[in-house]
Amino acid sequence: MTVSGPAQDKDFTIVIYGGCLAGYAARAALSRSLSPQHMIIHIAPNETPACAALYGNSTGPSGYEFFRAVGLEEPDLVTRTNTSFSFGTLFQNWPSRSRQWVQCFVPPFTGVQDLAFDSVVNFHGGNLQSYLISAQAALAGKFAHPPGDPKNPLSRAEYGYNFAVDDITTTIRSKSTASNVEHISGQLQGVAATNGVINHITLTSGRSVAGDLFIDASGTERALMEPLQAEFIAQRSLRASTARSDTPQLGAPCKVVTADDFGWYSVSPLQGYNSLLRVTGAGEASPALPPGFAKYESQFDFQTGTLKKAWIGNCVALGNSASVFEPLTPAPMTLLQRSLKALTELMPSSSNMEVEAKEFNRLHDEDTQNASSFHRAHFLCENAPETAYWQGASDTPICPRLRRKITQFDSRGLVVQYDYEPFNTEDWAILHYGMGRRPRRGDVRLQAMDGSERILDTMSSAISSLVSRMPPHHQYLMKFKEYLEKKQNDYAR
Amino acid sequence: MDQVKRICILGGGTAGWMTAAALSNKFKGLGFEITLIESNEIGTVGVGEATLPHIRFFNSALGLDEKFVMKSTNATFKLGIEFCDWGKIGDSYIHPFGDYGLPMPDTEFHQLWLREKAERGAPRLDEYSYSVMAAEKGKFHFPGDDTTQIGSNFGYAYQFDSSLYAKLLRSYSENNHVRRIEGKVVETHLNAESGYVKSLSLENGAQIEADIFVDCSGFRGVLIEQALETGYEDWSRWLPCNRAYAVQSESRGELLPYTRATARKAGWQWRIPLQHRTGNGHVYCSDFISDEDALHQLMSTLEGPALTDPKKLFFKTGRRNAFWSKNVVAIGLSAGFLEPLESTSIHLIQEGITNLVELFPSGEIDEYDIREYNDRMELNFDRVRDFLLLHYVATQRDDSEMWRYFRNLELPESLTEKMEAWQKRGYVIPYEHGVFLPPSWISVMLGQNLEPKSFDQRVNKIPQEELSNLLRSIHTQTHQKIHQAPAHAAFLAEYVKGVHVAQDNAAGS
Ligand SMILES: Cc1cc2nc3c(=O)[nH]c(=O)nc-3n(C[C@H](O)[C@H](O)[C@H](O)COP(=O)(O)OP(=O)(O)OC[C@H]3O[C@@H](n4cnc5c(N)ncnc54)[C@H](O)[C@@H]3O)c2cc1C
Repeated sequence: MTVSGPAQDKDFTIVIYGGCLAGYAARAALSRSLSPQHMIIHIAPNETPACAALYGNSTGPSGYEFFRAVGLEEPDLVTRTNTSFSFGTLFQNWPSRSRQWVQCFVPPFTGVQDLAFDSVVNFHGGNLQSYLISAQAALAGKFAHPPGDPKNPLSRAEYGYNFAVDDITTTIRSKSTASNVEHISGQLQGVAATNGVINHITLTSGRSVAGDLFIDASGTERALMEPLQAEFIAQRSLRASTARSDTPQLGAPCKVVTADDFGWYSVSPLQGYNSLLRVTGAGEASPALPPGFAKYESQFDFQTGTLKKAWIGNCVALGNSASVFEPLTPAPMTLLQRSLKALTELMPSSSNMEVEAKEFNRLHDEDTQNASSFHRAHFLCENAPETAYWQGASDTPICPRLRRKITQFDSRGLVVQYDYEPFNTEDWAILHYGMGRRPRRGDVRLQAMDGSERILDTMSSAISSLVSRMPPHHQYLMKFKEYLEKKQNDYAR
Repeated sequence: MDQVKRICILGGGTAGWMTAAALSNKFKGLGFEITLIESNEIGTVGVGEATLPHIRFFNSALGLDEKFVMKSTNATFKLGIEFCDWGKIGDSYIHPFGDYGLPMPDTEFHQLWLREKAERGAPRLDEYSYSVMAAEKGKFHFPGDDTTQIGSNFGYAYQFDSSLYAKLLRSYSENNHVRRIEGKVVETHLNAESGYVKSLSLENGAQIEADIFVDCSGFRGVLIEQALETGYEDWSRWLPCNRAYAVQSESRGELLPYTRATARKAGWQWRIPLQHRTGNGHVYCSDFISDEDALHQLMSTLEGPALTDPKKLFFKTGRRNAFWSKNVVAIGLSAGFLEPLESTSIHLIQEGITNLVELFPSGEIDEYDIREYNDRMELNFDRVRDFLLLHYVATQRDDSEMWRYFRNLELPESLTEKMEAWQKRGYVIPYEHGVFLPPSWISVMLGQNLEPKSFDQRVNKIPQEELSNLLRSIHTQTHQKIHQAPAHAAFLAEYVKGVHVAQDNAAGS
C-alpha cells in the first residue's frame, strides 16, 4: 500500500518503554494503524519483567480482535504459538468446597417473551449453566468454532484464548517489522521532565531518546510514570507464583481456577503444557503444588491497584503500568486492549494533548472501576475461609456501583449495567448465579409466562445432544492446525 | 403487604393513556386492576406532536399496525428536525435520525470526511446522509434491512395529532379492561403511618383506592407534588424558556418529512406538518420578551391561516427530585419538563413506562425498586438536558439579550468536555445509556459551526486517492438512492390508502 502525506506539519515521535506484552502490543498496534508520520521508537529491556505473568494466560472473546490489532490472526496463534481455545473459566471450590461453575463466554442472551433469559431459568428453579452451551462444552472438554447459523445451539457460544504471555510477546515481536519502528534494546537510566512533561529519557548505554509522546509499558515498575509523581491507588499486597507441567494431551477448553485456604490457583491448558499461576498473600511461603507440577518457576510479590491518572503530561501508561489486577478474570487483557484502542483513537499529533489525556483518563477510570467491581464481586460471599488471603479480600471496600449491582440483583434479579462495561450483562448474570446468589423476587410478568418451561427443556436437550457430538478440544485443535499447516504449505508451493 | 394489584393512573393525556395501554398489555393475565381517572373539565395540555423513532417500538410492542396508527392520528413521517438560525442567522441544518456515510472498519465515517475536507475540500457532511438528503428533497422511503448499506442506516419517527393518539390508546386500553373514570380529583388521602397515597376523592364524592398510583396529571403533579411534596430541581438557569404559545394552522406547500425549529430572539419556534394541518408554537423566555411580542412573533410567521386560538402555556424546565416516591410514580409532564426542541417528552414518557414495567413491584413496593427507577430516569433527564443546552451554546449568535445570556453561562462540565473533545479532533465522548448517540451530537455541533481543528490520526493511514474515491462513491450512491425515492406526500398517501379507521378510531387490542 502506498501511503500519502498526511495533514500534519511535522513528524510525531512516540517512545515506548517496556519489554513485555504491553510494549510489543502497543508498538504493533500503533505502527499498524498510524501513518509513518508517527514515528515509533521502542525501547525494550532485555529481561521480561516477572509481572508479565499478571496478564493471566487468558482472554475473553475480545481477544480475537486484540490479537488481530497486533498482527496475529487466529491461524498464527494456533500454528506459531502454544495458544489454545477457551470457552471461559471453570471456578472450583469457589469459595466453599462444593461450589463450581463455568464463567463462560456467551453472546447476548435472547429474552424469553420479553423477559431476561436468566430470570426465566431461575423462575423455573433451573440452573443457568445447563442452558449455556459454552459452559457445558467446557465441562465436557469439547470444542468447535461457533457457527453463524443461529439455529445451531453452538452459535450461542463465544470463545477466547488460553495463551502464554512470553510466547505471544515473542511472536508479536517477530511479526512486527513496520518501517516506522525503531527498536532499541536498552535499560532506562533516567527521565528528564519539566512541569510534568517528559523531554527525553536516558538509557544506561548513555543514549538519550527524545519524543513527543511516551508510553510507559514497563509493568508494575511504572518506570516513566513514577518520576512524574503519578498517584497509584494500591489495594492489596499479594504474591504470585508460577509453574508449568508438560502434558501430552491438551486439556479442556477453559482455564480452571481453584480456591483454597491460601488463595487460589489457575491452570491454563496450552499446547504442550499446563501453566499454573498461584496467588497468595504477599510474603507467604507458597503452598504445595497441585498434582502434576514439580516446582515453582518464579515467585514475586505485587500490589494490586490502579493509577489515578494513566495519562500525565505527554506520558501514557498501558497494561500493568496502568492497573494491576489479580489475574482471576480476563480483566488484565481486556483493559490492556481497551486502553490501547483508546490511545490509538486519541493519538495526538502535536504537543497539545490535554483534551486527549482527559478523555483517556476518564475511560481509564471507568474501566478500572468497572473491572474492579467485577473482580470484587467474586469475593462477596459469606462462607469464605477465615484465612489471611480471604479476609483481606473481603476487607477490600465495595464501591457504590457494585453495591447497586448487588442490591438490585439480590432484590429482583436485575443486572444493572453502566456505560460500556468491560464485562457485560451476561458475564454478570453468570457470575451472580454461579456464586449462588439468588434474587428474593422476580419480574411480575414471570407469573404469566406461557410455555417457557418447554422452551427451556428443548434448549437443554439440544445442548446436551450437540455437546456429546462435539470433538474433544485436543482433537479439534490438532485437526484445525493440520488443516492450517496444509493450507500454508499449499500456498507456499 | 400483599402483591400490588390495583393500579390507578391519574390523567388521560398522552402520558396517561400510553401508560394504561402498555401496562394493560404487559400485565395481561396477571390479575391487575387498572383504573384511569381523567377530567374533561381540566382537559389535557393539547400539544406534543413530534416524536422520536423509539415510538415505533412502543406501538409494535402493543401490536398496533403502523398504517392504522398513522391513518388514525393523521401522522406524517419524520426523518429529523431542521434547525434554522441556530448557529448564525441564515444557517440551517437537519438533525437526522440516522448515521452519516457508512460504517467504516477502523474509524467513524465523519473522521474520513474531516480529513478530505481539510485537504481537498468536500461537500457538506449532510450530503453523505441518506436521511438528511431525503428530508431536504422532501422524499421518504423505509430503511432497508442491511444497515451496512446506504438507504438503510437511518430511523424515522412520526409527527402526529397527540390527542388522536391518546384517543386510540384509550380505546386500546379499554379493550384491554382498563377502567376509565371521568371526574376531577379533589382530595388525596395519605396513609398516616407510611405516607403512601391511600385513595383519591373525586368531586362527585367517589373514592378510588389503589396500591400504586401513576401520576400522569401533567404540570400540576397532583400526587407527586401537591400530595407528596417531592420537590423540583429547577434547571431554568440552563434552559430559561418558560412559556409557549401554540396554534394550529392550515397546511401550505409541500408536506415535509421533518419538523422545523427556528431560533428566535428570545426562544424558538416550531413547525410540525401533519396530514391535515400544521402545528406551530413559540417557546420563549419571559425575561427576554413580552407575551404580546412573543404571540406576535408566532402569528406573524404562520404559513397558513390559523385554525385555532393560540394557547398559552407556562412551564419551568427541570425535573422532580424523585420520579417515584412512596407508592406514586410520576410519568409525563408531572415528572419534569424539558422544552420540546428535540421532541423528547414522549420519549421520556416511554422510558418511564419501560422502566416501570421492568421494575414493577412483585409483592410489596420495595425501596430498591424506587431507587433504581429514580437513578435510571435521572440519567435520562440529565443527558437530554445537556443535549438541549448544546443548541443554545454552540452558537455565534449574540444579537439579543437571550443569546448573550448563553454566552456567559457556566455549563455543566459534562457538556464542556464534550464540546472540547469535538472541537479538538472530531471526537464525540460517547455514552451507551441515553437517547442521543454520537451522530446526533455531530449533527448539532457541525450544524452550528463548531468545526473540529483536527481529526482521528488513523485516517492518515488511508492513501489520499483511495479516500477521495471512497467518499465520492458514497456521495454518488446516496444521491442516486435519493433520486429513486418517492416524494414523502405521495409515499404517505399510498401507504395509508384504503386503511379503514372507524369514526371513533377504535383500536384493536
Ligand atoms: C409547548 C409544548 C410543546 C410540546 N411539544 C412536544 C413535542 O413536540 N413532542 C413531545 O414529545 N412532547 C412535546 N411536549 C410535551 C407533551 O405535550 C407532553 O409530554 C405530553 O402531552 C404528555 O402530557 P401529560 O399527559 O403528562 O399531561 P396532560 O396532557 O396535561 O394531561 C394531564 C391529564 O391529567 C388530568 N388531570 C389533571 N389534574 C386532574 C385532577 N385533579 N383530576 C382528574 N384529572 C386530572 C387531565 O385531565 C389530563 O387528562 C410539549 C409540551 C409543551 C408544553
